Amino acid sequence: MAQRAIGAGAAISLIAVLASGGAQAQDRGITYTLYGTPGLLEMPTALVPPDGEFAATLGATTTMQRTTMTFQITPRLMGSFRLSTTQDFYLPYEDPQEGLYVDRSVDLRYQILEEGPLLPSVSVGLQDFIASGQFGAEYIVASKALGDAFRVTAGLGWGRFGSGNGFDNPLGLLSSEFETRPDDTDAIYDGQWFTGDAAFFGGVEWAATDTLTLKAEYSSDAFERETALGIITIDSPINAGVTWEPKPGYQIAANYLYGNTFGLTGTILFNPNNRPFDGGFDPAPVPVAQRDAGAGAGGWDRAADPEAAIIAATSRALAAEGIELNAIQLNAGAARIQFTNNRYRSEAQALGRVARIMTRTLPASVETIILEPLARGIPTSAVTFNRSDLEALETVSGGSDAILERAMIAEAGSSAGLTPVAAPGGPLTWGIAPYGAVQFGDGENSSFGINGGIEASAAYEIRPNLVLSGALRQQLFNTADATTELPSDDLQRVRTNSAFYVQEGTTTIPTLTLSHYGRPLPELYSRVTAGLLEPMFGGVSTELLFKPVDSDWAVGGEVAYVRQREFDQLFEFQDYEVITGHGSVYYDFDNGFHGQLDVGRYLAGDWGATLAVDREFENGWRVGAFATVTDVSFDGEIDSGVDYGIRVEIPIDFVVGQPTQRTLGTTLGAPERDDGQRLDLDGRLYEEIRDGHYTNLSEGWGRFWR
Amino acid sequence: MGTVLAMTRMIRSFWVVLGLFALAGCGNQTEPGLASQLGGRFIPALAVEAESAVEPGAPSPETAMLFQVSGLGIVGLGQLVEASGGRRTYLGETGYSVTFEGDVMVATRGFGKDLMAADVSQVRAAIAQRSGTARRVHEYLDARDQISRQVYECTFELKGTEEVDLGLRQVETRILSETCQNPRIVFENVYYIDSNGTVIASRQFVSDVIAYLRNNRL
Repeated sequence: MAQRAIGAGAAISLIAVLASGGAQAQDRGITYTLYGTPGLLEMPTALVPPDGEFAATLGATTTMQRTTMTFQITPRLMGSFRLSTTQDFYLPYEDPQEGLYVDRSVDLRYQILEEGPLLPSVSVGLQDFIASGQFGAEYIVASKALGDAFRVTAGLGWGRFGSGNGFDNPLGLLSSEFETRPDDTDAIYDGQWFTGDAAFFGGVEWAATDTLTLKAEYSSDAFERETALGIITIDSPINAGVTWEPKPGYQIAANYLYGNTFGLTGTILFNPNNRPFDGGFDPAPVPVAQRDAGAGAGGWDRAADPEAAIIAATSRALAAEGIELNAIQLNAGAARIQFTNNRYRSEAQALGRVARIMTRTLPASVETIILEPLARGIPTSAVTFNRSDLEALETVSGGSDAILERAMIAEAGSSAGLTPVAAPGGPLTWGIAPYGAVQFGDGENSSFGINGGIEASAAYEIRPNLVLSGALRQQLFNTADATTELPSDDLQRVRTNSAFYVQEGTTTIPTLTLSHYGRPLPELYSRVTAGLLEPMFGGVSTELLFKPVDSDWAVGGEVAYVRQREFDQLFEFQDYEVITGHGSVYYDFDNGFHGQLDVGRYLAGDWGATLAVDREFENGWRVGAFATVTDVSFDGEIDSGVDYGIRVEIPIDFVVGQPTQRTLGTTLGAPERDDGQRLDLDGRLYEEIRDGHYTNLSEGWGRFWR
Repeated sequence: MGTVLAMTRMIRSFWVVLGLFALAGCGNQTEPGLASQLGGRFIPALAVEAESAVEPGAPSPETAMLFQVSGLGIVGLGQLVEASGGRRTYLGETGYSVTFEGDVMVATRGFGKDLMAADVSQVRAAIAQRSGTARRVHEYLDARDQISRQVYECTFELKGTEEVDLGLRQVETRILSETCQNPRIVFENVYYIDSNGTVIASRQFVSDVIAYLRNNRL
């Protein structure tokens, strides 16, 4: 439950985690711009950070703040997501306004040529490319190191980067369409890339010491709009600055810009490929017990080795590993158990620990060991081992691959023949933990705030797959100002009223549900959850998922009937009710990318689709982007546009070096809105089931003998 | 501009809200809070295994080995918990384990960057001959939970004698050195051999992060 509590408001706890581990030496030499991209001061270079690297940057001047997440998506493709604020800015097609203007922008950069002894590195980039927003620019840029400490960069820019000393677009030779940049509109894309005037930019970097890099650039950005609005004055196109890297992974830069302005940049780097504690300090497993030659030839002597004692010993040993023995089937030649792994992120590691324990507790005559991991009380697969393979391969070079090759991973068997085993700790689990959350609310009517308090949670396992669970929260502080009444909206308020829930809900029941999981047919999984599903909605949610054990794909469907809860988050409901649900397709690409498409009806009754693509690392990291379009996205009155953003999930064992299934996740860039919203449900089937299936097991199999 | 203002707050929150992370809790849930996870370590699954419990009393030379890993501040006894199939596994008090084939370490657990597995068949033959060369294969778990393999070429050489202090007794030993290298790493393992031809102490390479493990018999 603590995971939910943290997840609700962990927008930035991410940085706390990022701060706990630095990047490696190969990252040195790459410094970041005010835009949070590898480059000079504001102009890009062609450099590419190591694959998987993640950079969080705050670039600030007195008039403009840019907060950027940059991720090296593949070895050559880089993506950036940026939220920036500019004082008193507005675009030509927008109403004049005073105050902070917020812009959300996305960049892509692709390295088309790697640096060689003679050739430079060359990259092409699109900045703020989705709409013609505040920072729209395109560029092609080349960078070359000269010796150990110098690097020069030259590039050609368009859009914003073609505005300073620009000249006729050379691409105009190809087509006159390139000669004029379309007027700014709020269209998604109106053909603006690489159009209009072009201009040269460039600069030099000098690594004066191991920790200091001096940079100077000639900028081709004239800040036309900002200058026209009197926000920025450009006295010089030359910018200069110094970047200090006190330790690898942390950069602080002081910059002098436009001939009149100081700017500061801070960057934290993190790479899922650099794990601070290597494999982690997981306590050693019990070693495999090898049987003496000929042992067990006489079969299983039940008098000397009674079944009840075997079950008790197995259950105790598993419990000490954070693993629950749920059911067992035992005969002279084979043993099958169902278990729930509550400790290890990697189900393969749990399998390895369970298998080793069973070599120590089973009668010597048992040669076949079948392990069925449970998720929410239902078996996700059956992994069959020969005991002699376990005995032979534990500490042998190549043993990890060999045991995967010799194991059989198949659909779980039926429950026939299994003897249920009561959980050693009893059916009730409970916990008390602090929680914290960040409130955004609707901008006009509520203010930003942090709230927190204490949460008590409990779960009662009626059966392993039928669980009553709930939580009780006591809010202890809330820094947000009082919320005034919301004006009516064209769309039912389903999320933008969150401030009321924070304000009126001081002693609350965020969730109270009865959930049932099932496997009505092999490869088919089901879920029914009823009750107070989440703080803002209650009702009944049902789900089916078809997912063969060895498939890279799955299809599923979810339908829920829900009513909006009262702001006090107790047992009363408001009038609004809706049937919401989605059909979903999931696909795990071989190259580490994962895609999910959901099509259906959202909470406010709007219809549409959400596409999400994540890069999933075998060690549990996930970095992804998503976009939602519904039938009101481009509705004349609401016109909220595409909802898009990025999300990051960090496995806590990566950070602390101890086994745990906890993760810390955050989503950036999706401000509270009412369209495209889904139920915030715990325990959707796909994420529960897939850990026990072939793809995820094999990806994490290096931990089997851990 | 409601959306815009909400985003402003999001940006602020992004940089402001530190400290929400380390939220520990209590309860009977199987998954303990972070704080308790960072506490003492031992091998719980074995502790509950009554039949393997080691008899209390003075450690016996047959069932105990002294281990030292300088980088981790480990100095202590490991108890023999499994001896079968030509391998012996010792368990240390702080939750690590060390497995030997003959006198050669083939696996560790609980050290962080552990030796996951090793192929030391040629190494064992060279130790028996007190000379020669051998190919040694080490396996490690990388940052992405994949097994990575290092292959070393090793040369064995006797390098004089040394008196080894085993605590209870002083033993005169011959020193057998094993120098291993691959393009990335060079290390030297040392085996101390008594007059009976038994390796009574050694210093063996675990990984680039952990460096060496020293062990000696009682």
